[in-house]
Amino acid sequence: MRYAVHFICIVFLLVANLGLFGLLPIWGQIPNLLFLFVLCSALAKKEFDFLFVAFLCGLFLDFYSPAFFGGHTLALLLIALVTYLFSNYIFVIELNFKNLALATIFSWLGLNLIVWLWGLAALKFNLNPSYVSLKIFMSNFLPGLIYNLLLLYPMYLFYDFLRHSLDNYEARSRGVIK
Amino acid sequence: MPFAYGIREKSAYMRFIYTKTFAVFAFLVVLLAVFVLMQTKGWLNPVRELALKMPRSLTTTVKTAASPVKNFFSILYQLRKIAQENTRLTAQVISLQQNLVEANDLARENEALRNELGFAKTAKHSLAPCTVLSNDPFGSGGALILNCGSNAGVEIGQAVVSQGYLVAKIVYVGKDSSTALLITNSSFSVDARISQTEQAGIVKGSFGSGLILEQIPQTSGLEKGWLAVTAGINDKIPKNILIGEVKDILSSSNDLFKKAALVSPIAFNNLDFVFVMK
Repeated sequence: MRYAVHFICIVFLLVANLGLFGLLPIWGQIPNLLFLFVLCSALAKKEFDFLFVAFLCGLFLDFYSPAFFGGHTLALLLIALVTYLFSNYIFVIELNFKNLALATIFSWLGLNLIVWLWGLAALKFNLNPSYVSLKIFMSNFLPGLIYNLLLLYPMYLFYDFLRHSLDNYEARSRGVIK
Repeated sequence: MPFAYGIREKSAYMRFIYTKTFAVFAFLVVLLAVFVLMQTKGWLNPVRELALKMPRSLTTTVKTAASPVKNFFSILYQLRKIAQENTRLTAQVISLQQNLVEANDLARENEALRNELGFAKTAKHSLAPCTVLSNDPFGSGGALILNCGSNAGVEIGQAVVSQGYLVAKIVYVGKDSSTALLITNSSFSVDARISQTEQAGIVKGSFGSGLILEQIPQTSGLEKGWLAVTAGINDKIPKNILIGEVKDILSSSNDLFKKAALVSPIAFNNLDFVFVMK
């Protein structure tokens, strides 16, 4: 049930990303709702869920990207794991907007760098014919980051609502609460 | 006891690798490696096509529902610009009508001369109509994912056109889908020539939505409003496909070559249907 709901949410976010935000670019960039969804799930401190979400979102991003397959999935898995570790083991962070924004900045940087490095590796192994220089690749970084930061808090609220709804549903189905 | 403290802390972190979370992570990484291998063999293409097509009807519905709102605000924002453009276009229509009359005369004359000399008509390229499944919404790639692949006769390197303008070239071909690199992509380049002078050059994509015409000798003329078309040196991209109009001269007289910014009337972000030139 939990995974099915997550899957439906990912498809819903994909449709919103392509349909709605595709019409509203800022400096030619549109936000990456799937990335924000992964980040919020990793910060929710719930075991496994975030890895499933990261894997599925990564697959969708890879299918929609002209870059060599796998870069987004690997990047999102790593980012989700590191974010989860940081928020649980290293710095037990209080979730306020400042910390959320910091997590977004580092994760967005990480995502861009890993995807670029993956593309470079694919080029070196003759698996991908095209290559985008790091300077040009990273020129998307700032507009994308600003747009993602604008949608970070709504996405966090959305994920929080989803998590609480699922927790309540599971508690009810187990008879813990009525 | 800083040393002992350090060891205890380290072991606490190391314990993470024995957790279920890490086991799931490792499993997913292995699964990804399998998927990558499958993708290189082309076995993942049906799943890819399903993932591309599945949300398409919903996306189109959302786009259709949201576009009137967007258009309303966009028109309000651009009202002044639209009025200026209307004046300019009206003048251009009059000028083009005159050119059309001359061109028709020349075409008739050309046809008559060809008939006299016994030339065969040059064969037109066949076009494969394709729907744009996605225009690389998340990445910086500047690419289109099309719903036609090798089954429709699409091959790597072929030109993709829209409204008579070159918009992309094919860089990846699957069975029923293909990926085309937009001409605005920074890694795109194509041989070109100036329509007015026949001078050859190179058109490259520039980050954002720009196009740059390069390698024009200083001795050759280059003016705003001139048209750049494909040169036909690459056998997969036919000659004389419109690329764009010279908008601005970027080089100075001290530069080795002339360089100009081109503008294409195509809205690369809103392409729905294109043609692949076979």
